[in-house]
Parts: sequence; structure tokens; C-alpha cells
Amino acid sequence: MNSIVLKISNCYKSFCKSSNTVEVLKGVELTIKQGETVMLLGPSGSGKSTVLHVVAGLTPIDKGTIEVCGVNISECTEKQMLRIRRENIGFIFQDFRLLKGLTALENVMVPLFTVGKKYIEAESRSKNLLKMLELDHRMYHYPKHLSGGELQRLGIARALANSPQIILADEPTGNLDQKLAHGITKMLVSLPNKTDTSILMVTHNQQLTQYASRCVELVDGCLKARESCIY
Amino acid sequence: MHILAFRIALRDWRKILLIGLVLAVSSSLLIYYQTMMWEMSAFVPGSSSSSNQTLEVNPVRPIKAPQTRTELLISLMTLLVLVVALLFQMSILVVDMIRKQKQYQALIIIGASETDMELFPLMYSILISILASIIIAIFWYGILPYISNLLVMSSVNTGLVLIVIIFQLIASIIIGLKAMHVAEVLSN
Repeated sequence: MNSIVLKISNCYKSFCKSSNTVEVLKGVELTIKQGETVMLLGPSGSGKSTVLHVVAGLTPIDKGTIEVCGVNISECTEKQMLRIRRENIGFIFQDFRLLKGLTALENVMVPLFTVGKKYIEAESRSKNLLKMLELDHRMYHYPKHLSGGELQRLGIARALANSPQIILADEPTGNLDQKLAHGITKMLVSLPNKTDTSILMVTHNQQLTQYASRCVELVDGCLKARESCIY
Repeated sequence: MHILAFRIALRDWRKILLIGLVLAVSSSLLIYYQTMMWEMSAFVPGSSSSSNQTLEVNPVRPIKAPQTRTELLISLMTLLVLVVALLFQMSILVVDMIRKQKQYQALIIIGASETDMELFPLMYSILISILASIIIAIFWYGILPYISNLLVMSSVNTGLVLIVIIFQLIASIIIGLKAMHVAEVLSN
């Protein structure tokens, strides 16, 4: 039986900008089980990235509850939230956000050091991840020497470093061409089979929804299930 | 994490070399002018012979605080040069942190703590300070004996050199620890 990795209940979030209040999330409800790949769609500015930020505890919510691996993060202190992010959540960014002064291998090792792993253990784990993502021949190269697809695969490897329960991917194919976007997405959605990691992927690319097990759409601050993920 | 912070800093060796040189030169200026001031005040008018006038140098020259207004002014000005060099170091580090803001924000998101983040500019600062100290030591103890006539000085007070090195080391550590916070304030 697959356990619930993420549960968002009646989540509200608004932002105040120069005396105007913009309600971005209005009663969002979402449940993701272990091993599921869920794509979150919506028009630009609809609040898709805000959903990821509140799940990661980077932005507090106004109302509702968010449970990550059974822990209500709304009641967590900053230190507890930091620990949850380190151990249970992986991130993939649209613009990769890799450290340019580190090699590919060292970039993957960074999250492992945050949980106190020793150098040898971190190095071994990172090498295995790079091998899994077919980047082992590039492990000593710097990000500036890698192509767009390789950079994003490196971002995926970094996100997997601490064996997270869920990966939050914010438009991971946004900076890639269509062919690469499909390749990266296929690689991402194959991860649950290999690592039992769930994926919540934000995208505006309708063509990629065919790879998801479930699609939801953010419309007027509410999440609505899409009947079909086929484009 | 400190290993990675050290590697990132080391790979930016050109920046470290530049700032280290600036720090070493400004520190050496301070040492030079202080030493010159003491050497001049140490000259004692000696008894003159019928044909020659000789000057005796007081061989014992301990570190002393500035006595006259001129000495105080020179001390303050040379110290100011060192402070400006340290501000230059701070500005380079802060600009570097601002340029790499997105990368460092990503580190915070994936679980790096504030202490982890402080390691990055701190490593830069420590390497800069170590390099500056090595250059100062090489110059004053390795090169000075060969150019003492050019600089019109015979030796340098070891205590003064040590004080200057320790001062710039402590200042560099403080700069390294605070650079992240300054960058955050400026970028907001």
C-alpha cells in the first residue's frame, strides 16, 4: 500500500503588494502518494510556483494544513523545516542553479554534506547517481562545460542525493528545447520506478502531460483534476 | 561543506591573488612608514670629530605609540590605507555574493544552513589573509636585506609585522562572516 507523501488541505495564500492583496491560492487540496508523478499545470502567474514554495516551507500559508511525510509543516520551526527539506524533499530548478565553482560530482555532493555525510560516503553516492543518469563521463567537468540537458540531469542527480520522498520540479524543462524537454521529462517520470520517489512537477508545456500518472490544473487559485493527461 | 567552500574559493585564485596583493601592499606601507618614523626618532646626535660628523643610532627600538602630532597623523593615514584595502576586500566579496545569489539561494532551499552559507565568503577571506601574510613575510624577511639601501632601512620590527598580520587576519575573518549579511541587505 502506497503511503501518502504530500497532503495539502484547504490551503490559502495571499500576497500584499502596495496595499493590494492578491489571493493566489484559495482552498487548494492535493494528495500525492508514494511513487506518483503529478503534473501541475496552469497559466503564467496562476500560482504554480507558489504551491511548490508552500510545500517546501519557504513561504508560510495563511490558512490550511500541509503534511509532508505525515508531518504538519505549518507547525514546524525553521530548524525543523530545514531538516524536512534536507531529508525528504528534493528540488529541481528551471535555471538549474548549480554552483559554477564546483564540478558535477561536487555539486551532487552538496546536499549530502548538509545531512552530515562523510566525504567518502558522499562521493560514492554521488558517483552512483551520476552513473544512473548517464553523466559518469562528465563527473569532473564544470557546469560551464555541460549542455542544457546535461545540466538538468545534474540538477536531477542533486535532487536525488538524499533519497527524498518527493521531488518538487519547478518548470525543469523551461530552458530546454522540445526534444530535450521530452527526454528530461521521460527521465524524471522513470525515477519513481527506480527510487520510490514521488514527483510534483510544475509545467506550462501541455505536451509533457502524457508522461504523468495524474495531472492537476491551477485555475483561479484552486486545483482541479484534469480528466486526461493526454495532450 | 567546508571542503567544498575551500575548493570554490581556491578555484577563484585570481581574485584571491589580486586582493591578497592589495592587502599585502597596504600592510607593508603601514609597516614601512611606522618603521621609518621610529628609525628617524631613534637617531641620536653623536659627538662630532674635527673633520667628521657622525650620527649614532640607538640600537634598541621597541614598539612605541606615536608621540608627536606628526607621528600620530602618519600612523592614522597608513592605517587608513589598510582599512581602505580591507573595504576593497569586503566590496569584492559582497559583489561576488550578490552575483551568485541565485546559486546560494538554491543551496538554502536544498538544506544548507546559515552557518554553511557563511563558510563560502569566509574561506575566501581566510585564503586572502593567508596569502597576504605570506607575501608580507617574504618581503620583509626575504627581500628587505637585499634592498635595505633602497628603502633606507636596515631592519624591521618583528612585533610590528606580527601585529599587522594578526590585525588583517582578524579583520578578514570578520569580513568573511559578515559579507553574506551585507550582500542580503544590499540586494533587498
